[in-house]
Amino acid sequence: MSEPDDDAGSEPLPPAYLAARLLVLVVFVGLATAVVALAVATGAAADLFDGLRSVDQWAEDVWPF
Amino acid sequence: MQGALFALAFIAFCVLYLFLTFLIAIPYTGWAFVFGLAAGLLLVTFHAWLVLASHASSPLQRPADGYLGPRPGQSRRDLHDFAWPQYFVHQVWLDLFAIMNRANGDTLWLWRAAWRRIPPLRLPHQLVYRSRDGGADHVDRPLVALLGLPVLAIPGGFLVGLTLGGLFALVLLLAGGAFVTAFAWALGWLAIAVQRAAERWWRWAKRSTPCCAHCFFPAELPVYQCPNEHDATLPRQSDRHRDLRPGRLGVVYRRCGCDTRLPASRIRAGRTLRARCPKCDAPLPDGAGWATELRIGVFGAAGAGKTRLVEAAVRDLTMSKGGATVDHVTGNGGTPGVGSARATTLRIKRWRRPTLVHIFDAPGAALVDPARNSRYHYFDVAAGLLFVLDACSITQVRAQHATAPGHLTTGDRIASHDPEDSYQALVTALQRRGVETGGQRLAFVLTKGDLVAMLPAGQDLEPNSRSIRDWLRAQGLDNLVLSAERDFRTVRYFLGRAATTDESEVAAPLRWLLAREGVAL
Repeated sequence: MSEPDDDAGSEPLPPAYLAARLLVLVVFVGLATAVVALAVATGAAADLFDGLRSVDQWAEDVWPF
Repeated sequence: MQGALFALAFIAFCVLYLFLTFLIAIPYTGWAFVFGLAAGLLLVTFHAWLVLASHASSPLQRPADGYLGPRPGQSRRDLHDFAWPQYFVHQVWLDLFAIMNRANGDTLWLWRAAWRRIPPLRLPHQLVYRSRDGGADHVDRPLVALLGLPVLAIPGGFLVGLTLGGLFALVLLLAGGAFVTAFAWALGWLAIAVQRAAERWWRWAKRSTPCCAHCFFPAELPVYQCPNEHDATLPRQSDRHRDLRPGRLGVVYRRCGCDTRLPASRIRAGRTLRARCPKCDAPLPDGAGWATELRIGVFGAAGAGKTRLVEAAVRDLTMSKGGATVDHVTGNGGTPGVGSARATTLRIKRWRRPTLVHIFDAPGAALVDPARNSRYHYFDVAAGLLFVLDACSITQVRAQHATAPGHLTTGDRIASHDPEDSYQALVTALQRRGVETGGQRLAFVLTKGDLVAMLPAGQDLEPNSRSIRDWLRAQGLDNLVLSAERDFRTVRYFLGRAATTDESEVAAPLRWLLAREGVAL
């Protein structure tokens, strides 16, 4: 598994790089949050969980013993 | 007996298989898949945080990677300067691919680790005929995976979810990165276009194109030097920024490879940085690119008194107590190889932004030779020209000068070249090169005026433009006067006198030329 590098950040980078990287990170996290929030808001997540529960129930019903 | 035991074992295996399938694998694999999706998303987010928050290293586009050093015939692609490129030019993709590689590496590592956890099962015939190299383990694992599917389905579902979640997160990351990059490029190009247009306007309106005093090259894009001294560990001449304009190395500022912040504009750079000629590397005066630069070309025959006139005028201007301060910045004293033209630069400062006035004085012998005077490019872009005519070189005056008493002629050198030819040799050459002399002004200076005033021919000569013009015509120089007034937009006549009591009279031609360019002294 990857881990943080000990020598990362030892090379001085232009401050604009750090700000731009932060901007990309914020946009990515924002997009991911928006997708998850959209899934919750539209009921897609609830449908998924309901589907999983129904599969669970079907398996219990089918189990012969 | 053995058959019955085998049948019982088989039935027990089938029941266990069904039990695991229906009560564990089917209900929980879906949940494992969902948890895997979330884990994949978190895995990519974790790596994005590591890389983008600089907790993990990623490949860097360093200034030295784009720097090619000074080369003959170098193009103006700005990536050749030793400076950090803008983040969204290249580095953003290096970072995104670094995140992809790290997330991909972790996902593969998990798959491999899970695969290795599956115990190898040797079938009966393999127990008898064991492979010598033990490689049978790899063959057995798929069979074990199939037999243990009800149990392995849960971690398998988790890994599939992790992979798909990771892929989805990477798509989101690339889409977000591409969106921000596209936005930054659009905004950047807009800002660059506006700033470059403003710079072009500034250069045109303020006439801020510097001219090298050594090679006379009009440097539209001077080389600016980083104020920080670059040591031997940095590339040679990496402190020279040859394309300091808004661009891929910076829209408002750029960061030199030595970590010094520089303005990414000639106008602002000219105020603070030292400039050099891009052609001959000679230093340009402070303020190059920011200050208004006016060029005045002095021409006339050898011995007409050009150099003495310029020296006296410069001395007079620098000593004058007007509203503006005039400093003698530099004089090259004649540059060998380009005709030994002498360039004198004055810095005139009335407001915050100075005006640099370059007075170019080339040898008369070179100026009257059309083949040689084409080297003096400054005439092509001069704000005004100053023609110096030795009054004693006029035929009638020369004759009277030759017969004058010795105490009147002090042994001054008299120009021997034909007055009209000394004018036509340069002006005709300029017009042949396509220079619009009709838009320029000419200060016509008649030197040795005090000497002529003591001769019979100079009795009617008064130190005003009208009188000098009439006097020249009376001396048979109608053609020269008419040519000058036809070739130039405005012509004014001045009298140069060595023993004048009015100090400002010496610099009057320069004052007049500069006043017409908006520089009142």
